[in-house]
Amino acid sequence: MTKSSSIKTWVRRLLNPEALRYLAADDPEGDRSFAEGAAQVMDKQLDRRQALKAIAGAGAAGAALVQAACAPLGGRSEEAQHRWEEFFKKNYRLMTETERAETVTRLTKLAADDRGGAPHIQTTPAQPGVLFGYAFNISKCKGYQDCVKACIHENNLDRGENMQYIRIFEIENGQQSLASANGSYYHEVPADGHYYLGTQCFHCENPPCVDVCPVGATWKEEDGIVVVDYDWCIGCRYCQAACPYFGRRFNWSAPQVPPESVNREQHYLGNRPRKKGVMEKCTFCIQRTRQGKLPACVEACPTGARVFGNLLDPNSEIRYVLANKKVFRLKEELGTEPKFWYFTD
Amino acid sequence: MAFPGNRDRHGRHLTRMCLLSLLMLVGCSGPKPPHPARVADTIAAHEGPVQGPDTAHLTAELNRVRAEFPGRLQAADFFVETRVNQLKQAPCAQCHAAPVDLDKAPKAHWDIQLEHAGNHMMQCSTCHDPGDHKSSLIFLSGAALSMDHVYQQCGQCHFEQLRDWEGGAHGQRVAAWSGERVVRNCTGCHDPHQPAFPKRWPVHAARPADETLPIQEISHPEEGSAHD
Amino acid sequence: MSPTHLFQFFGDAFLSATRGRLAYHVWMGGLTFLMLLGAYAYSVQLQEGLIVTGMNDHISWGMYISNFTFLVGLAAAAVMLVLPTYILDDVDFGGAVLIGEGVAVAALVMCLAFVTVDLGGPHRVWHMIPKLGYFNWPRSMLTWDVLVLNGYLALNVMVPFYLLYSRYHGVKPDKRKYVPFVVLSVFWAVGIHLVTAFLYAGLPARPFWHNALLGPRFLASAFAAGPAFILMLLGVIDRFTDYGIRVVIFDKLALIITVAAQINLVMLGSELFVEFYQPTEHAESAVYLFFGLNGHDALVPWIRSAVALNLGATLCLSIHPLRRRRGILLAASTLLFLAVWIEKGMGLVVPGFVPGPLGDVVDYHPSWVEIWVTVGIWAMGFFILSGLVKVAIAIETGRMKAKGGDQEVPTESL
Repeated sequence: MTKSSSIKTWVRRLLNPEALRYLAADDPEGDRSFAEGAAQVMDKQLDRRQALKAIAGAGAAGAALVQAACAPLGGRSEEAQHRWEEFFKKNYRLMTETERAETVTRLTKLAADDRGGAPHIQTTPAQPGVLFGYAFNISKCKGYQDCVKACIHENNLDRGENMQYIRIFEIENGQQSLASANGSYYHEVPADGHYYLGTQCFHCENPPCVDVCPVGATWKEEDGIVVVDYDWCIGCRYCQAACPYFGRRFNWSAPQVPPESVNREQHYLGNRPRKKGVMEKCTFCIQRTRQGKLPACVEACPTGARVFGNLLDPNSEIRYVLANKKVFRLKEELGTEPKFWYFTD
Repeated sequence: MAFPGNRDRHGRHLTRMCLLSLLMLVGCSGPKPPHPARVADTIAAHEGPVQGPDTAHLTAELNRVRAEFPGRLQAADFFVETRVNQLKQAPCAQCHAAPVDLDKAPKAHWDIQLEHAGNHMMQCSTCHDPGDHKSSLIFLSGAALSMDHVYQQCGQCHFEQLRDWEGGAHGQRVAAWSGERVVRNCTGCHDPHQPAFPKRWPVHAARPADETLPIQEISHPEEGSAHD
Repeated sequence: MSPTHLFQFFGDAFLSATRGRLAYHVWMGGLTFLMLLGAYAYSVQLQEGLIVTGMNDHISWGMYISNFTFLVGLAAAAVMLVLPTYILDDVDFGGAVLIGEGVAVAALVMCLAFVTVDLGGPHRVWHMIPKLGYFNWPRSMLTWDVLVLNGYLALNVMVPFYLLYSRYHGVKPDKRKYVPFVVLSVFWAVGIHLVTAFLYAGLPARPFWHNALLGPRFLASAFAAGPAFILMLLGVIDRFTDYGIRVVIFDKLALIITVAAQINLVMLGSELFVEFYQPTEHAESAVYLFFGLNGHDALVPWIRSAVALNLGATLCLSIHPLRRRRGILLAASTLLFLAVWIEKGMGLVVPGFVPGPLGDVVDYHPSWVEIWVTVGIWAMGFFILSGLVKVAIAIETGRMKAKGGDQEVPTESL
């Protein structure tokens, strides 16, 4: 037996003794998808990295089997192979352009199988000379929550758990502390004697969430957007504990989005579908803003309370706000330097 | 392992920690205290004229007109959404051939309730002149003004808002954050006859903070039903 | 150390760990049953996601991480026996130190298990392996924790293994071979608990944890609760096996526990003073913990009983005539252990999240799935501990030793 084939057999046996049996052609009734997927991968010439990965991942692959059992593989072996390769892909930041293109192709195919329509998944990088900033006018916000609704639809947020990136707080005039605010009001707005303050991820210049992540699954992009690699996150939720602004959300269960309302214009680091057990957050609608569009919340705001733009452009609206209005940020004393300012008329 | 093209300060943490231990050993005579990076510094270091993403296709379809400010030599560098093509009851000449006496209650415009700074200050004739200027608005001085440039008229009183609108702190940009700047007109958000935003139900219920409480079924009241 | 010898050793160890009196089998069988229950609960959690726990976006760490935090302390406590025995050459602890290291091993395995069950994607843990994945060291304190915990586990497996293996073969262990590792493990023990404290203390977002006293207090409470647990265990061993534990060991351990418990109380007092003398907004977590906030008071009865237990146990231990009576000593140790478990587990982790960074006050109630998984992991810990202790005693008492030819391990009296 050659060295590579013995590794193959060994890995296969480790992964799934059942699969070996199914490989025997005398069982036409059996579910062969997993075995074939593994076989197809294994029949390729393994380079050292892949082999290492397969071996080191074997322990994890036991768990992968559990995952495979949880989410039954489709009947097609191509799909099984895609899922297999998806499992062993790299951190997005370490991928080459080719690898990025490959994973996008796989994801597109898998998503098309899942939801009955192929999404368009961008990998648009940050553009030089761009640093995104956001300002929120607390005199103008009336608490209508159009932004919340737009965000849910734009970003394919989990409808099952009613996940929301944006929170709008109703605060009594004369108060400033969020502790006395009502973050779950539902009545006619604006309520007399109250003002409204919205929060979301503030895309800090010194994001504590990025520092604490043990696997580097979350980071700050060149244009200031703090993103999550959903396929790299291991779900330890340390970042959620580290965020001083409640900016992060966890998929406690498998997210549910009705297939007909899935937004198919997606970004790898943005609104593409997440899975259970990973962290997600506001990305300033990276799939829109990297194309020059405004975030969905800004576009949906009926009162013009939301200002978005490039901080490095001296002529941008956001720079006008910073230069001409009285602005403040939440918890400035923590040194996180949010790129999200509040201002009044 | 370093990530390519990251402005972040990788590797510095280890250095910083070593430095900290060193500080503890030799006393407090280190070179610099640890200091968080500031946005203001980042901006100062990298700002400049920027060629953002190409957004011509996003603004191409918009009906827009270059903003003008009377009395200025240079034209403004941004555009405003046009108004004329959205109006149904204008110009007045569609229906009115002869001058209309605005002192009488305008029966055909029964649906317009004027709630704008009180009747003593604002009347129909403050902005409209169906006598001489049927296809335009008028300034307080009586001079005509295109409906597309209604912001000039509002700005007669709301000069602070006009200033913020021009700068970008008031109002709303449309379509794109980069490229050609196109903004909503005042009337794009405000009903000029009732400029205050109305009371209404939020379009979405916030997620209750206390998830141990049963989430109540929210019956969404029909639009326009009696809320009082 | 030829492979055959190793094989023999492990074979003997296995036989020794699987043979015993009926009571031993019932005990191990019961633990196995609990482990199976825990495994079933975990399978439900894997299937449905962490939604089946009591955690949510507001309180994103619960029972699992609470137990993890506490158990790191238990693991670190072995150093209180290791330090005097190996480094200060205090022969009195000789018999107990291997037990202490067994506790450390069991506690560390439980720690790793608790962290694993807390993960949303346990099958993606390989992302942490350097080269294959990305190990965010030294930025993330969690990576430090992974390093120190696994390192400490290795140290605590290696040293006792070498000692027992030598004893098994009737060879005198070579000091030059193991003392460097022992010295390392002493620093390492302090390290694991400080790093675990820094995991929390490094988060300015959570004022309740962002506190320089957290690390020292972790150590003090660990050096009280850990030896308390070892003392309880020694009590059990002394009572139920023929492996006698000398009185002087109990006395010395009791003294260590007493001093650590007293220091811990001083620190508690200092913390309470800072929180409540001029209560700021940052004191709200403490208010929630001790008095309840906005009608939410799930933790109040727990923490109050913990403080009462703590005070009572420390008082008992501090009075010499009481401490010298074996029954009272064991009872006080048990109470102290419970008190620290509440205080440092749920009493530390959950209030950090309440009120949330945006002022949300939410109560945390562990779900049944969470409770059963937790019970299962504790059962696993006791299972491992029982096996390790049984083998260690068999070797120490000379019942299990290397022979030529056919192996026969004498049936023990346990």
